This record gives sequence, C-alpha cells and structure tokens, in this order.
Amino acid sequence: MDRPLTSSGGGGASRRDRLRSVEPATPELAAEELLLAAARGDQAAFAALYDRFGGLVYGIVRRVVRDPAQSEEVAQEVFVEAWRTAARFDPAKGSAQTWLLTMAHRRAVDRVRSEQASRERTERIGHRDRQRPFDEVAEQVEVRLEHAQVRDALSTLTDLQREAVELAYYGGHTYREVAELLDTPLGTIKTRMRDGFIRLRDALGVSA
Amino acid sequence: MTPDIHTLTGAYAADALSDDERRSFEAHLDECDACAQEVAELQATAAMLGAASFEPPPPSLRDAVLAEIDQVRQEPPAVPSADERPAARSRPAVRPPGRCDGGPPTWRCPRPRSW
Repeated sequence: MDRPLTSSGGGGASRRDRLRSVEPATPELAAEELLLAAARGDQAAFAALYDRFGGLVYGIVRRVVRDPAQSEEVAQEVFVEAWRTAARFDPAKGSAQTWLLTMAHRRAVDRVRSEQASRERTERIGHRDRQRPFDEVAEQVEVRLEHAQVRDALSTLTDLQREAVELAYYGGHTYREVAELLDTPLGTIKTRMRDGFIRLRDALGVSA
Repeated sequence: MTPDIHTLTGAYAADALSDDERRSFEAHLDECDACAQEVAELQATAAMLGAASFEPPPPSLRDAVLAEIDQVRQEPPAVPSADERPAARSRPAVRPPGRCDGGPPTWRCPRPRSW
C-alpha cells in the first residue's frame, strides 16, 4: 500500500516501514504508534493523534480551568508539549492516552495555580470563586462509555474519599486546600485520597 | 510531624501537591520502586477520570496546534550513555538542573546524557 499513514502527505517513506502491518485504515492504528511516528517528525500522524484525543485533552483542561478561552490556550500548550517531547514517550510505561491526559491535567492545574497565586495577594484563599457544585459540572460533560464506568467506580467510594478525589482532580485543588474545604485533618485527607484512588484503580481494572 | 511520605501517591497522581512537595516526592520516587509503581497505576486511574470529561474542542484549536508544531523543534529521545551500565548505579549527588521541566511525572526525564 503506497498511501501515507495519514491523510495529509508530505511524510517520508521510512516511517511506514517501522509501522509494519499498517493498513491505510488510520483509525485502526494504535495511538501509541501514532505517537511514536510523531516522535519521528510525522506531522500527519500527530494530526491523527489530535483527532483522537483533542476532545479528551480539551475536556479535562476545561473541567479544571473552566474559562473556555484559557482552556483552549492550555490545551494548545499540551499538544505542543506532546509534540516537542514525543520522543520521551515510552509505551512500556503507560498508554498514550495516560501520557497525554497526565500532561493535560498537570498543565491545567499549573494554570489554575498561577492564576490563583496572583490573586492570593489580595484574597485570603483564591479557590472560593472557582468552586462549583459537581452536578453542574457533570451536566456539561458529554456522556461516553468511560463516563458511566467512572461514575460507577466513583460511587464505590466513601463520601470523604470521593469528595477528596473530586476536589483534587476535577477541582484542581491541593490536598491542603481540600483539607480546608472539607474541614478535615491533613493526614486524613492524604490517606483518603490515596485510598480513593486505589479503590478506583481496582474498580476500573487499571494496571500499569 | 513527619508524615509517611508513601501516602502521598494519591495526592501526587491528582496533581494535588504544592510545587515543593511535588519536587521532594519525585526525589522519593527515584528511590522507591513501590511508590513509583503505585504512582504509575494511580496516574492511569486519574487519566480515566480525565477521559470522562470529554468535550469537543473549538475547531480553531486543531488549526492552531498544527500550525504551531510546524514551528517547534522536537526534543531528542533519551539515549543511554555508554557508561551508564557498569558503575554501580552511581547516582549523581545532585539532581540535574531543569529536571522534568513540565514533563509528565511518570515518564521522568531521560537519564542525563553526559556530565
């Protein structure tokens, strides 16, 4: 098959060789292979990767950052960072999706924290105006398969575990802020957060 | 109060540590395989929480990303240096500067290529 891996041309021939048994059916290509191709400079493969993960990256960034314009900026930074550091991706250590979403969440949190830091001069705690009820957030979220799984998994947690996990992960709060918000000792929050994630891991059947 | 550092895996996976705590926990991860393994699993778990928040991005984002990567040079892969093997894992006393600048946590920086 002499078609390029991905729709837009301009790639070299060599990368096709490494991705053996690749049919032109781009959608079947594993995300990890796309990322490895991108690491070798294949912009078309990267575009395909964007098409697959754009909504996931933007979605988590938006959930944490909220502001759509800022979210778009952060999501762009995430993809550019992914492009820049693609050669560091090691499929033995995790999936492309985990790699990208870990990066996206970190960047989103960094954005929220730096905004907060600049506000904190004048406000005692900057998190109050960002906090919103989770139900409201949930409604903006498109329903997909993972969503139902995740909701089910979250429902297996104790209230405190769930709140700690959600405030930290979706709310972008530090565990110290979470302790404050839940009026619970730091040590308790730390362990509940860990216990909560471990339960989720088991409920979702995650292995790394 | 010296809390058990191992319990920070959850907070780390949720990006819920302060910058200082994050740095010292990452130093711990270099030493503690059990924590590193747990962190990898919890990060994969966290990513599933993230994936549940799917939202279609604005169409302009795709163009912006693809236009920008065309102007960004890619970093090289980690190349194991020839002398990395033998020396009884002589860890540098001081961690290399600029370590993991912005990179995701589990996939830690490549081992220093040269000293």
